[in-house]
Amino acid sequence: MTPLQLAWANLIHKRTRTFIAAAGVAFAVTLIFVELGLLRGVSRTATMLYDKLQFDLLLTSAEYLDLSRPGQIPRLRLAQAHIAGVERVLPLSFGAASWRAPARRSLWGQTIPAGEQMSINIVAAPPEQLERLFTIGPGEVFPTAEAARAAGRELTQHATFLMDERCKPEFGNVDDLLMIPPDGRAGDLIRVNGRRARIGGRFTIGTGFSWNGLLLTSETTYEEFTLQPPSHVTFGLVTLASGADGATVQRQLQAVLPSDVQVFTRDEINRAERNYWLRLTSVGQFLVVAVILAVVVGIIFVYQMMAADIRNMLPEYATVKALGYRSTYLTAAVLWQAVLLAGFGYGPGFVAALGFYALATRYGGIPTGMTAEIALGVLVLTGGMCLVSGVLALRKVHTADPADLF
Amino acid sequence: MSSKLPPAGEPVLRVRGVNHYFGTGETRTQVLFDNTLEVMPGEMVIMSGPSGSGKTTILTLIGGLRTLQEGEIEVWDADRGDYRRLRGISEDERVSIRRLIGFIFQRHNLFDSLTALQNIRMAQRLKPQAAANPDAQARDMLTYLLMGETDLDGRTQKSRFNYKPAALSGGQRQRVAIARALVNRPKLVLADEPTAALDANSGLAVVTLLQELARARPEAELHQRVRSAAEAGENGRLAAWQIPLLKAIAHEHGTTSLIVTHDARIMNLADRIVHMERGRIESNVVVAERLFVREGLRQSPAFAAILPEEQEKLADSLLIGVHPHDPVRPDQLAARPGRLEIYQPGEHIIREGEPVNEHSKFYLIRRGTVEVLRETGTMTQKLAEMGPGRYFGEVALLLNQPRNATVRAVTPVEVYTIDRATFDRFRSVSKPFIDRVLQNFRVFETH
Repeated sequence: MTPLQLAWANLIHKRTRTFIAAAGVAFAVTLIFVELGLLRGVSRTATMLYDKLQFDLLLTSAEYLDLSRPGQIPRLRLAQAHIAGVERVLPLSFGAASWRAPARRSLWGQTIPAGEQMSINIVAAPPEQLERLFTIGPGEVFPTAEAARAAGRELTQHATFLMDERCKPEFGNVDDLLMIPPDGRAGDLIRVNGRRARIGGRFTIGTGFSWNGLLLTSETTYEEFTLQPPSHVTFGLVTLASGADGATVQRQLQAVLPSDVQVFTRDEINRAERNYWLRLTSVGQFLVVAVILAVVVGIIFVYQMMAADIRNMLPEYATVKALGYRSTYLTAAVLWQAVLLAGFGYGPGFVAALGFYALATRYGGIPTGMTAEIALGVLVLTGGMCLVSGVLALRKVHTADPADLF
Repeated sequence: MSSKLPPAGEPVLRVRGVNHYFGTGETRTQVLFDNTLEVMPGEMVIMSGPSGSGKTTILTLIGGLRTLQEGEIEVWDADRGDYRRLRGISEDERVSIRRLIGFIFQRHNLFDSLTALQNIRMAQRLKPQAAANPDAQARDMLTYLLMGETDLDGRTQKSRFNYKPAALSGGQRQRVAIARALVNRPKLVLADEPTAALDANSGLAVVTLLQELARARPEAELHQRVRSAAEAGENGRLAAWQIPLLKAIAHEHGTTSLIVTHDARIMNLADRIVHMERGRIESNVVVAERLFVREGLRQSPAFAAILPEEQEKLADSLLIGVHPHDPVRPDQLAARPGRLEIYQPGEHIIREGEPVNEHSKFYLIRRGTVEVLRETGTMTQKLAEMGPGRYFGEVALLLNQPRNATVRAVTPVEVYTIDRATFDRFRSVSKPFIDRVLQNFRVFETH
C-alpha cells in the first residue's frame, strides 16, 4: 500500500465521516469562490467602462478620484490636446440621473407599479462618433460598426437615450421600453431626471458595484437633462496617430495642458480604479478579509475532522511504526488524505459557485463569472488549506507510540 | 538452517545489563534492573512473570519500540549477516531494526480500512527482496490459518481474503495479525498472548507454524497432529492439506520467538522460559537443559529420594542456560561460575586415591565421553566409558573416603558439578534411602 492508497482506503472506508469532511471543505470552497467572485466583480466594476471605450490616453480632471467622482475638464482642453502624435480627441461625459421605474413583476410574481425613483448613470457622447468611442464586435458595446452608426443616428433625435440591455431587471426590459412613446399615450412614461424621455435603442456594457443601470445619449440631450454646461466634459479620449509613442505623447500632453488636466494611459487609469475599489473602498477590503476568513474556517474545520480521525486511528498508526515504516510514510499518508479531501470538497464547491455566479450575475447585476484563473486559484488555495490542516494534524500522528501496543 | 543465521553457538538476541526508567526528575522510577539474556536461533522463549514485572517493557526495548537507556541489546540482522545494536542509535536505525522483527500484539491492531490481504501487504511492502508473487504468499498464509477456501475438513468455504476487520471474528482478526507478523519470515518474533483469541485448531496451526519457522520438523511428526476432532479434544488438530502448505510457507528456519503468554499449549512447547519478577530476570531456563539435568540427578541414588521440588531446585542451581546439544562458550561459563567444568581429551577429572575434602565434587556429564579407570597392581583397568547424562564421584562423597577410581576425558568434556557442601545438604535430606544404598554398595564392595 502506497501512502496514497492508504489515504484513499481510509477515506473510502469511513464514508459518512469523509462526506461530512468533504461537505465542510466544499462549504469553505464555496465561500472562497463567492468572495473571490465578488472581488472579481469589484475588479471588473472598476474598469468596466474603460474596457469598453476606445482610447490610448485619457484626459481627466486633475481632481479625478474615481469614476464616481471624476470631476470635469473644460472642453477647450480637448482642442488644446491636438498636438503632434495625436490623431483625435473625443469628448465623453459621465453622470447620474434619476430614473422612473416602469411597472414590473417581482420575483414572486407580484406586480410592482411604475413610478419608483431610481438612480441611473448616463454616458454622453457625440452621436456621430459612437463607433470610434466604443468597442465594436460580438459581446462589445455595439455588435457592428453599422449598429453603432444607427444608434448614433437615433441619438440625434431629441430626448432620446439608448439603454444598456444588461441593466438590472427593475429598470425595465429594453424591448418593452422601446415600445413606450414619449407622449405617454400607452399609459406609461419614461422619465429621466423628471423629464419625459424616449428609449431609442440598446447597447451593451453591464452593471456592477458602481451602477445598476446605464443610459447612453448625445451630449445635447445630456446637457439638457442634467443641466451640465456644454463648456465642460468629463473625459477626453485621445487616440494616437499611427506610430506615435504613448509615453512620449503623454509627457508632451502633460506639459502642454494646464494643471487642471491629468493624462492617464489605459494601464494607469485601470490601476488607479482597481486600487480605489480593492484597497480604498470597504467592499474590497471586506471581500479580501472574507476570503482569508473562509480559508481559516476551512483550515480549522478540516483540521478538526482530520485530528479526530487520527485520534481514532492512533493504534493503527502506531502499528505502522512498529512494522518498520518511517515517519515520512505516515506524513505522506496524512497529507494525501488532506489533498484527497481537498479534491472531494472542491468539486461540489465548484458546482455551487457556478450556481452562485449565475444568480449574482442575473439577479444581482454583479459581473461575476468562473474563469480558469479563479478555478485554478481556488483549487490551489483549497489544496493549501487542506495541506495546512494536514500539517497541523501531523503532530497528532507523531504521538502514536508503538510501545503502547504491547 | 539458513546461512543467514548467526555463527554456530552465537545467539540471535543478546541483552546485556539492561536498566530502564520511566518518568523524569523526582518521578523517575526504575522498572528494569540489570537484565541479561541470550536467545539462540530457533528457540521458542516464553516470558513469564506477574503483571508489572517488566516483561512487556523488555520486549518493547528488544523490538526497538522504546529508546534503550542503559545496557546493550543486539539483534541479529539476517540480511546484513551481522548484529544490530540498539543503544545510542538514531530513530531511523531503530525503525530499520523493527523491520527485522515480527510483532504480534494481543489487540490485533489491523487497519480497519484495509482487507485481510491488504493488511498483510502492508508488512510485505517492507521486505527488501519482495516475493515474486506477494499476493499468493499472503493467500497461502491465510489459507494455512484456515481463512482460505478450504476448511479443516477439506470442505469449500468462503475465503476471508477480502474481508475488512469489521467483518471478521476476533480470532480471524488475530490470525490476520499473525500472518502479517510472520509473512516476511522474520528471524525474531515478539508476541503478546498470540493465541489468546484463537480456537484450539487455529491455535495449533499458529504454534506449529512458529515451530516450523524455528526448525524444520519431519512430516511424520507433523502428521501426528492430523487427527479426528474427538481425538484432538482441546489440543486442536491440523488437516493433512495444511502440512504441505506449512512446508511451503516456512521454507526458511531459525525464527526465534519471544512470547508473553499464559496459554499452556505454547508453554508446554517452550525451549526456554524466562521468568521476571520486579524488573529482574529471576530465572532463565533452557527447558531441554533442565530436563537433562533433572533426569541425570534422578538417576543418582544420592538425589533420587529427595522431594521432586528439591530435585528441581538443585537442578536449577546447576543450569547455565545453554541447550545440552550446544557447547558452552567461555563467556557463558564465566557468567555462571562454579556450575560447569570443561576438560580436554586425556585430562583427569578425578584421580583414584584422591582424598575427599571440602573441594571434592559430584559430576554430571553434559557433553563428551569419559573413561573410568582403576589401578590393579601395575595395570590400569578400564572399568567403563560414560557419556552425556551419566554421573560420577558420588561414592567417595557418600562414604567420605578417597576416590576409588580415576575418571579421564576421552573427548572434550563438559561436566556439571555439585560441590561438597551442597551435596551433603541434600544427602542429609535423603539419608535413610542413601544408607540403604550404601549398605548395598558395601556388600557389593566386599564381594
